[in-house]
Amino acid sequence: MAATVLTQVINGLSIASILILIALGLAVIFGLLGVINLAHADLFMTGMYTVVLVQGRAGSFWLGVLAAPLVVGAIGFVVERGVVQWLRDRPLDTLLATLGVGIVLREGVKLLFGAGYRQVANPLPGNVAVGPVAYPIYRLLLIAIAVAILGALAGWLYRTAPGLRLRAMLQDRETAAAYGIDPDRASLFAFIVGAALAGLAGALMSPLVTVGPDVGIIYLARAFMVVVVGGVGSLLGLVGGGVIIGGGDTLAGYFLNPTIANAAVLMLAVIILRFRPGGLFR
Amino acid sequence: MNSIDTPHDAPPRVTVTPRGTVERVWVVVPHVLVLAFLIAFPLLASDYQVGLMTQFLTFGLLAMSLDLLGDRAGLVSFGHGAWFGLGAYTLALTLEHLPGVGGTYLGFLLAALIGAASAALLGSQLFLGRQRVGGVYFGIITLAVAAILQLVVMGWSSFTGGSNGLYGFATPELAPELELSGTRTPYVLTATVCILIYYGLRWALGSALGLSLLAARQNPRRAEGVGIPLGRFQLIVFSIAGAIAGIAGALYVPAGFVSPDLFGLTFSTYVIVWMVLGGRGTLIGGFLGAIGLSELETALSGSFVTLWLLMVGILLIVVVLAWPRGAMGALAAVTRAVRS
Repeated sequence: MAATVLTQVINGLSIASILILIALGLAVIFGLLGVINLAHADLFMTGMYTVVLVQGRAGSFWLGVLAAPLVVGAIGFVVERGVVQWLRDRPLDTLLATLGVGIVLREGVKLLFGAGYRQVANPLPGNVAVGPVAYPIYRLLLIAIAVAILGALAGWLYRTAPGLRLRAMLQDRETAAAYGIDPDRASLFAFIVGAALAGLAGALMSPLVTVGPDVGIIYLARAFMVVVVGGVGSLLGLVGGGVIIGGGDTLAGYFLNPTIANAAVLMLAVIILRFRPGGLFR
Repeated sequence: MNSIDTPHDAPPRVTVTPRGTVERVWVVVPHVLVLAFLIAFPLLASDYQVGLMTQFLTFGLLAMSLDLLGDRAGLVSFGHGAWFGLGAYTLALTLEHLPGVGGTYLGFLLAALIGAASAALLGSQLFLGRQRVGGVYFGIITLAVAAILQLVVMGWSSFTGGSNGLYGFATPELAPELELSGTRTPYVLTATVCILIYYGLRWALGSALGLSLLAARQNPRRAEGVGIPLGRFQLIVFSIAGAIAGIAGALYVPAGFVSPDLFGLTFSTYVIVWMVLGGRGTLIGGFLGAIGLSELETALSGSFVTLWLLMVGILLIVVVLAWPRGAMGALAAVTRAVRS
């Protein structure tokens, strides 16, 4: 009994950390720019294919993990300059345009890599003993990596000058501009960071899933829910959202058929949004 | 979030009754041309083409209901395909349990009612509260609702057929000897319903309700100030759009097969693309986008599909950035150029 509970707790933590990783880039872009990036799932997918490419050519998974945020960050640069910056006052049009960006990325990957599925070899196969249960090492590592990235992001936002500029811009764009912060450059920067985080998440997730051009879409609705349930614009809220959605998934999945459990958790998220549109943690 | 977002920065469309005879002709001619095309099409085209066009008309009807929602309530649903799916499954399931004429009419009625009622239920939660949920949040919620419905349809396989979808249900019948099978009968029904709903909507949008909605979209605060209950109006528009989407889904059923893909993000994305590329705020643009793009995609099938979708993505970005009026806007510009 104790072993079952422990397994479920670690499962919940693992799923929560994965969801937080995936939602992080979305949260940065939504929180700092107020832009809902519907291409997020496809940036995530592009990160996976970067690993597929690098692992195929250079034989190293970790090199792929390093390359993914660079490649996807560069794509983010192009998307912000080419599309998003022109739609600053048209939030709904930003959604529509980033939907187009998503289609372009997805079909572009299909064109380059084919529509078939790829497999990324797990760099750390095997289990490690956690008390009475044996748990996959790589999943445990992902929990640690999620915590580390969250910490780094928080440090960067709250302890460095660029982070301060971004927060100033978030609070009041015009006043920030009056104090010599270039909102245009800050926005570009935030978008690149968000995209790079999406790519990194994709790279880290690639050994756990079957990689295909449509893989990101599966996570899109849940990633959105993690961001909005917790509350936009706060890292703590993101953690809360991840724990609620991830923990809820595990808990409901233990009692119900997994498909229905997924549906139930999304339903819960919609209900939370209806009563607390600003999120639970603000 | 207390204001509704303006979906695009197009100037207000105020229909002014044309005065001169020449003006009137320019207004009437396009309608006559389109109606003539719809009548002539089944007489001239092959069975295969007529079957496709029937399907594309149902897509057009769906895109039009999304346009209605965007133009008059300032709401863009990212899961609008779900209402189409609801309508299709409603009719298919009704026919499975109650074949025959009665089941057909009951199924169509239920498709419209369930479409409207589900939209009304969701809308009452989102628009009538103290904190109105609109804009991008409405987009995320509709996306999630579609995902939920898809999961339920896939998971509840004893009732819905799961991921295989439903097939082999009774053929719908309009009258004891009039089955909705083959291509001509479904085409006539679908085209008739599309025409009726289009002109019905045009009439409704010209009424006091429609004009209040337009006012509310242009300046929500002032509209509320003069006593227009914005949330209630959004609710009405969402319900109407849900009913139309449900009917469109039911009209899709004579094809003989419904699948959970109708609830998927890909299908809902298509609906948005049809609406945007066809031309927002025009009603008819949804049909133009759905039929035009679907015909092109069918013609280019095979190895070109990926390249074609890539182009559609690029086109979507370009239209949103630079030409928010879409194909209908282009048509209008050409007409103006020809006239002057």
